[in-house]
Amino acid sequence: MNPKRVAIFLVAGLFFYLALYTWNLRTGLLTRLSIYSGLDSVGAVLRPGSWAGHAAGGFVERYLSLVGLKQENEALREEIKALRLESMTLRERAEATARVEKLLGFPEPPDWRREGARVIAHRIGPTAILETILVDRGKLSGAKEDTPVLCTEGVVGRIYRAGLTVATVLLLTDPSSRVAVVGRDNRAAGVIYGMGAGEKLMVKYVGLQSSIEPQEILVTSGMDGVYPKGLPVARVTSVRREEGTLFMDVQAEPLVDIAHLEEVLLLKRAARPEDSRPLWD
Amino acid sequence: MLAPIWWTAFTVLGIWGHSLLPGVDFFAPGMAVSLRWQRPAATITLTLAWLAIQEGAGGLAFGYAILWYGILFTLLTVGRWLLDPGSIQFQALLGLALGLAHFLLLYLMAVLEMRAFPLKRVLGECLLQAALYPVLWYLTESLFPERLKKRREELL
Repeated sequence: MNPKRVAIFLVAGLFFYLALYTWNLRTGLLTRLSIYSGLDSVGAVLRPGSWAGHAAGGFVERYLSLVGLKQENEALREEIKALRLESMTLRERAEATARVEKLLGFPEPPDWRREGARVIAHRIGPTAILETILVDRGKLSGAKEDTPVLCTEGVVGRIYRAGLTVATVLLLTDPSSRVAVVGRDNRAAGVIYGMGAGEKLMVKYVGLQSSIEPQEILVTSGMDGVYPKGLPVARVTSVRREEGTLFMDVQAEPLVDIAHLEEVLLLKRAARPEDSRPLWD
Repeated sequence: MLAPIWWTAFTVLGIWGHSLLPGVDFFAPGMAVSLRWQRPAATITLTLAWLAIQEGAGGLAFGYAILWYGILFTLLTVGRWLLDPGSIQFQALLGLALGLAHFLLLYLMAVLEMRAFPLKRVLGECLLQAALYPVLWYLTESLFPERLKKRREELL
């Protein structure tokens, strides 16, 4: 082949690629097309196998759990008693708080609906450089980008890409993940940054004057506009105060065992806006 | 009818492979086999389907898979003039080139999107890609139906 023709072909190809890449960055059309075709077909292929795996695993687990069932029952009964007592106290406190908020004219918090979803895969394909999981809920069931995802232990992440029937969840541990948090006991505010799989989370922008202790639970502050306030996110593992800096060096660990996640909850905001009152009201 | 069924099964298995071993492309050997034994139209259709799957399910912005399959196509076409496309040595060399291309492309896309680049993990996945490609190609080539191979030879 003529080298000149090869060079022209390569340059034309590169030009076409760059034009396509830039055009798609602006319009997002090809990304949407690949999500609705590729992501959903991946979901359709993986879902039956994942369901079969869960069913088989559940069967084996149920069989194995028959061993030591009596002792477990007794321990659970004790736990239920303790939780009932705690729930009673907390209910009283919650009702009192609601009354005070009403008296002070606080706007009502937005309604969030929970919907269960099954994890059908973790990272997928050659371009899987993000820490993600794939769940079996998509736009058809109301899941959309930035929908918070949690499990019973705490925050898992948020939806990064939503297809029609499946969605990709960006995990808390991904380096591009940010969550605005506050200490549950001392109320020190900060932002949690993911540092990659298996790594501790970094809590940035915690002021030197703030109080924060190891083992303190960090909950969402609601300041990022993605997560509702008060969801548990991580536990502080180390706090260092260094001279010459404005902020403390705080590390934390996620409350959720991400590697073994099987089911998650999607938190969907109700149609009503968070605070529909005008600012001057 | 045999070819669509065979390629559908290949794609389904490839998706499961992607889920079990993230970072490795299980469709790449399919392109080598398809280019060798199928009409160009079939290869284009298959590549478009795999491209949509990779771009949709992957974590990066649209663009990686076009370059990836473009490089693979170029290497296969150029390599065919120099070496026998049916030899395992050629495919092993191709595997090494793909491992390197995978690293460079992921790095390029991560820089373009200003994302963190997990160097250690990506290096491991590139080595895995380089090592697995010839094995996967051999399996795909061996399992590809003889009837379809014969039909292609008759056409040529």
